[in-house]
Amino acid sequence: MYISLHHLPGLFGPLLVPALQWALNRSARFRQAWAARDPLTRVVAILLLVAGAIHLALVPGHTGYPVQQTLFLVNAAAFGACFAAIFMVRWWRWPAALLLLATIVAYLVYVGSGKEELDEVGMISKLVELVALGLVLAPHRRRRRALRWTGATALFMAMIFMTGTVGYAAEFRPGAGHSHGGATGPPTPEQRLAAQRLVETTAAGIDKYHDPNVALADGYRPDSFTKAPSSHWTNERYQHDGHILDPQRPETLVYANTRHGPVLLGAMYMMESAGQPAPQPGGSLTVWHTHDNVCFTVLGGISIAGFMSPFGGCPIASLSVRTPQMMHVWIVPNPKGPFAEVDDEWIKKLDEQA
Amino acid sequence: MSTPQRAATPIVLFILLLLQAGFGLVMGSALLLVGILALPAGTWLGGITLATAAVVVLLAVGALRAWRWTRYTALVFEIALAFGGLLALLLKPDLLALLTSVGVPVLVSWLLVYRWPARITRAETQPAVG
Repeated sequence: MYISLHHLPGLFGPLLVPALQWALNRSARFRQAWAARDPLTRVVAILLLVAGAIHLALVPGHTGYPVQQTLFLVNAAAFGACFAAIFMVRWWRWPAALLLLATIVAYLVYVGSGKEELDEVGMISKLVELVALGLVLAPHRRRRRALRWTGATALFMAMIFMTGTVGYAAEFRPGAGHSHGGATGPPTPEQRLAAQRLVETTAAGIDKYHDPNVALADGYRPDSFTKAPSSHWTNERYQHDGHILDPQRPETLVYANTRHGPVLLGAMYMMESAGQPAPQPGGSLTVWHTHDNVCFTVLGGISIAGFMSPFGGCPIASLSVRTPQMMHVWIVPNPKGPFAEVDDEWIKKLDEQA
Repeated sequence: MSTPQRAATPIVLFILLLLQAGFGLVMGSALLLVGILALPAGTWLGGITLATAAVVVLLAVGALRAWRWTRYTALVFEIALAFGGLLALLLKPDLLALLTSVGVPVLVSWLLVYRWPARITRAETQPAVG
């Protein structure tokens, strides 16, 4: 996951908290009120301040977006009011819980509807709010209240599950989980020609692999996504052979998993190591990408174990590494272009038409 | 007369452990879904992840009720988690992973070691009588 430039100031928001705490501690009345609160309430107070400070720090990063700026400002003020309420009234828990719930749900609506991309600052902010919500909901008095404990736990778990599910859904949106780099300007006529040549030479180079048995004989092996619309077949011998963008030795082939068996869709060129710069003969037409949300396991050979959780973790016994740069070249008429991402739904339709 | 307040540590431990169980619940469910739709390995990995999440829920309840076995079981689990998180960070630095895979386990471990309710610690350290 990445950090959006708009959200970068939010990371520094929590630095405001010690300064604010120091300023408030200068008042004897506040020191007295602070000392009178139990440790759990003090933890909640700090978490509310942190959440408010993050939202306040997000305001300058959203210049030109008056709606978001206003919402962040109102949210920060509301967190500040809840912080103050802790020291002034006994009924602060319900307003605080409602504010935390509303803040989390509003973010999920923004991310879920695609108005905002999922990023680390957003998730860190949600983690702070989730922990604060859990602590606010937890019954704090020594009474046997099984129903309240059950309700609070269920609501807390439901909010974590909802945050994670919306986060995963946002990560799987087309284009997410990818990083693109390189040339961005419009391609020159020479670059257009070079891109066209790359498609043609690739189609000629992998023509023999229309028969998957030839690919198997040459050392290509399918990945674990056997039930997905398409599979990547990788040749480990070609991954570190010193050949880059060689249509005779593409590192990976892509097959559609159809009812009639594997159907060749194209090739995927891959650089030898992560961070290695890639050539762009077609300028912005031939854009490479990396994956930063894939988890690999070494159990039973290196294979894909799953995808990084929106909370930043991988499944048991697997790790996420930044992949080398890679570029697809499709020899089928991909509606988005010969180098663009291919849509799984389009592959399914291809299968139905076949 | 006001009702006495609960101790803070068990509640904080309960919430942090539930948060970790929530991470497992989200990931396990996603893996199961991916397993059904595309990736065969996802099914068993999802099962293991969900089972681990269930154990963490049990640890959370144990922490709240100050069950003695919870302290050491959770400590071993959290230390393993923190080391795994550190290894992952060495390969790919990530702020969110630093917080969730290292920060939370370290905080929970610290609470388990230094803030476990005193009455439990005393009961454990006192020799059995009779």
